[in-house]
Amino acid sequence: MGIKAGGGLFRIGWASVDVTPTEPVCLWGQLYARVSEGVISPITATALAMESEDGQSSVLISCDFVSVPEVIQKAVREELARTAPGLDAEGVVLSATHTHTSVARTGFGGPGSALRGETETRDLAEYYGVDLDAMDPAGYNRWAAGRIAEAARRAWESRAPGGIGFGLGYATIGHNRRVSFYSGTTRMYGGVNDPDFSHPEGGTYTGVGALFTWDAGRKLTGVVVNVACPSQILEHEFKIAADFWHDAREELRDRLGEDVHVLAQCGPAGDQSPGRESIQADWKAHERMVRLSGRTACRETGVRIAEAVSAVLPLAEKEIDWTPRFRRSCETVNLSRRNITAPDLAEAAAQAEQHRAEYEHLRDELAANPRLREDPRWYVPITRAYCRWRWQSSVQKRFEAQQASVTVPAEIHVIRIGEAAIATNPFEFYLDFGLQIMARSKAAQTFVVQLAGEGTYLPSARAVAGGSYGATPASTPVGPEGGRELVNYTVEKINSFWDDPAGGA
Amino acid sequence: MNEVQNASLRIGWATRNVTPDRPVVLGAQHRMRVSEGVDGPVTVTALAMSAGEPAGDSIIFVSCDTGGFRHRWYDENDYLPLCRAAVRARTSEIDVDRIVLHATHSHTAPNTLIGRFGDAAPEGVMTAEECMDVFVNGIAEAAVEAWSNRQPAGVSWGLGTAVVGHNRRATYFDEASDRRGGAVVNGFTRMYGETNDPEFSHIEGYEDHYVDLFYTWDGGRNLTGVVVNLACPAQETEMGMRISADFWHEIREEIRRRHGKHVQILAQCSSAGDQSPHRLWYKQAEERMLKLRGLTMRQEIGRRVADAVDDVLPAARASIETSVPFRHAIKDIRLPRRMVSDEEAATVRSDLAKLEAEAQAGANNYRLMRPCRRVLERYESQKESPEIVMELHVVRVGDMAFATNRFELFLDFGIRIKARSPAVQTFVVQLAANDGWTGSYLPSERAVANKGYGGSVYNNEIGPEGGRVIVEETVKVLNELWER
Repeated sequence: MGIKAGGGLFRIGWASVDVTPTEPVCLWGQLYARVSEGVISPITATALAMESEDGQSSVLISCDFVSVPEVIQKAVREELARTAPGLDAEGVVLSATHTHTSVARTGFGGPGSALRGETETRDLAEYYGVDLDAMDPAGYNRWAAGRIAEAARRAWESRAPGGIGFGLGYATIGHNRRVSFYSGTTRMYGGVNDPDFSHPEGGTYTGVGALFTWDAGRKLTGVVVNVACPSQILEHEFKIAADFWHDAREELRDRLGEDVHVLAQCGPAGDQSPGRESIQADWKAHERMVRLSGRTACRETGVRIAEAVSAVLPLAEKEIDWTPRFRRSCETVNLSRRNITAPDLAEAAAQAEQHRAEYEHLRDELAANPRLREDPRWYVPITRAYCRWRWQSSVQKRFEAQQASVTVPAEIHVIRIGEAAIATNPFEFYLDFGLQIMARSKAAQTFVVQLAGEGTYLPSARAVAGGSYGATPASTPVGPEGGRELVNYTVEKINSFWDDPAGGA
Repeated sequence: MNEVQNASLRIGWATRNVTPDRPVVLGAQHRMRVSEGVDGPVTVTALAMSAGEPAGDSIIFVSCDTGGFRHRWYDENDYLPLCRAAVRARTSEIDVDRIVLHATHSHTAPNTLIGRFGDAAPEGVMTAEECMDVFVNGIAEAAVEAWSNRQPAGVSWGLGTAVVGHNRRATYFDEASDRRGGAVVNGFTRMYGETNDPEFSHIEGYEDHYVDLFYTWDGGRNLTGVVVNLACPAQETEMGMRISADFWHEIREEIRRRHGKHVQILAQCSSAGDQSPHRLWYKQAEERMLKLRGLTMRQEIGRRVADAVDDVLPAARASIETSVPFRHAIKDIRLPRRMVSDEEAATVRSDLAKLEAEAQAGANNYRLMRPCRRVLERYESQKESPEIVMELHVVRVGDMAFATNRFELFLDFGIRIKARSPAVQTFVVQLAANDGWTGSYLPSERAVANKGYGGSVYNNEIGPEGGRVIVEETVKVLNELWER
């Protein structure tokens, strides 16, 4: 490490692209359809390309998506294999900020479809059980994948000598959203003002990881920002939005420079959420402060992130590493499936049947009275019933799948950059697991990145004990046992890069 | 906004330096530490508030840089009565029942508990009684002066953020006491347990990185003081050998550096029985940042809290209140004791016998034997005395409230109070002095299940059932203050 400008051994490139659809789309993130009625803020993808002296490379790509559909990941890699010579497509890592007002999905179930063995569908009616006047998802996927691959290629081709530095700041953004009661049960968003409220089930993490890049002239070129909170303040809106990351990017560029790239990462946050009344004891006081500040909730969050990152910058700048050790690995790890028991199956089947009956009733009602379709957002109740039917039905598919295989494959990336590590997984990864990795990692700082892929919830043991959405069999193909396997694999891999600096891909 | 000059609220501040001028025994940890100097003065700060002179409600908060209010053991403890008597001796104008003492929980403050370490203080070292005199006089003088300093004033409040407290209870997949030969208190949880252990599962409870702030303003709308309420005990340098107020010294220094030496700072520790400034995991990242910043952790905490005060200040300045509902309710509430089971008593008897045998062979087990004996005392007397009384103070100021308790209250309880409070903002204040023993841990249900120091039968006179009573009673009084 040194303080002088770079010697040209480590090369860095950045690019960003707007992937906001130009026509109405179905927003993903709730178990009902929302046809977009405009745009609050643009959906973007940002790519950071890195290449070490010995030719190892990686491209990190952050997308304002709910998750990263396997079809998009595959298409981007294939396109880059064709257009970006020298880049190992296996080192291309796409991750999502988990905004619930965005698009891009694969099979019916949205996040987790690939884990459930579902294939891409084209027809919206297949997703929602009714015809909707919106862009077909496969078409969006193709279009977005092309633009993302193009941005990644530009990042790769623009790479130039530079250095990296990193640090840890703080911002209170995420809150544990699983509310536990005296009965021992948990309810997501369960209501902390309930007289039976006992405690937030899990913890919270207010650390903000920041990894900066500079060009050879010591000009800041970009920053990777890791926050353990999904981008979901606006999650019930019917408009396209990147949520608080849009505001964070604007605030960061105001402070750091208009041309600085911002790559957003969602840290381990399967049980986290931006604050709201039902989960946050200080909600009224918090809401009052946001009101007094004159900002929106998204802007307030953006300001907090920007201030945390800005405070770290002068410190990280003291230790710019122009020749960081760079190692990476990409492996598909087989994790123990969460076993679906006969009672699980029966419970899911009963719920599926209830939702199916409701769907069919609403479908018949629509057929008998087509004018109902003229009502605003007429499709919400019927798509809610349909989505829940299909969601609960997926338990049957998993039950069948577990007869053939007791494991679920998950692509895990581990990267060493200087004294920092980045470790990804495809899940909505409960914080407990993230803390285990960070606590046991030999890196000076570890950026755990969830939803690098199309996973769904990976619950902690205490979450499974508490139950509720996010921990039920329907929403968790992999359980705590698989989570522990994932942690152990990741820790061993990270630490191997420190024990044997020459190791890795 | 009403003009501050015509305010119905009257506020006064005063502070006293109670740093001893000779070596003392430091009042925490399981071994005697004789102080080797001073690392930031130990102070008491009083904030007096009243409304509607002369017959209106009033409160005097006195924040003390101390580990707790202990002068004599258990039911004999007379710290609060001595302080109130000292105030009464100085003036008859103050209703001493409306004085609330609360501790920052510094582990490097002078010891005031007679016989804490079994032996008398070494020669040349101030005794617990002498330290007690210094504190009692300082507290009484500050309270009286703050009361007489009251002037028409404005108040405002807000919520900031600062990462100071961390949950200190590491929880494992396996029984930690089984494989480490650890103390009998251990179960699945260990206080300050290692988290780079492959069996580390999670941090048991929550963390609260909000800072509750209450500002006071004079007739010229100048800042006169700020109440800073943090869910963290003052224990960053708790193992040190020098007298200190711990991080509150740096917080005060930094706020005064930014806003003037005249600004008073009243420190409050929110519910933090399971919290600590020590990070259990990811220490390397934090330590690296400190090194890069060139600050000690105490200085860094001072910076973070002063930043929070500054962040909220514009909103606070824009929302000064001078005529708001002001009510102070005092209620004695009865809390069920944590009952010692037959099995627990048998285990403790066995442990005590081992410790006594070791002591006879020369081991200094005094500090370990005393909690064992206390558990057995409780076991013997719990049927005749199944409850203890807690003096609960709840103060409403406009849309915000203060609510006190006498314990090291686990955060879960504080969260419950805040979540159900009718106030827009609720400052929970732990370790408020009571007549009798103040300051044992009050563990959550999960802490009792997981054991570990703070959650075991040795460390708590009151269990989760009593905690629930505190929550229910506090919420009830809060609602009454809002309904009146």
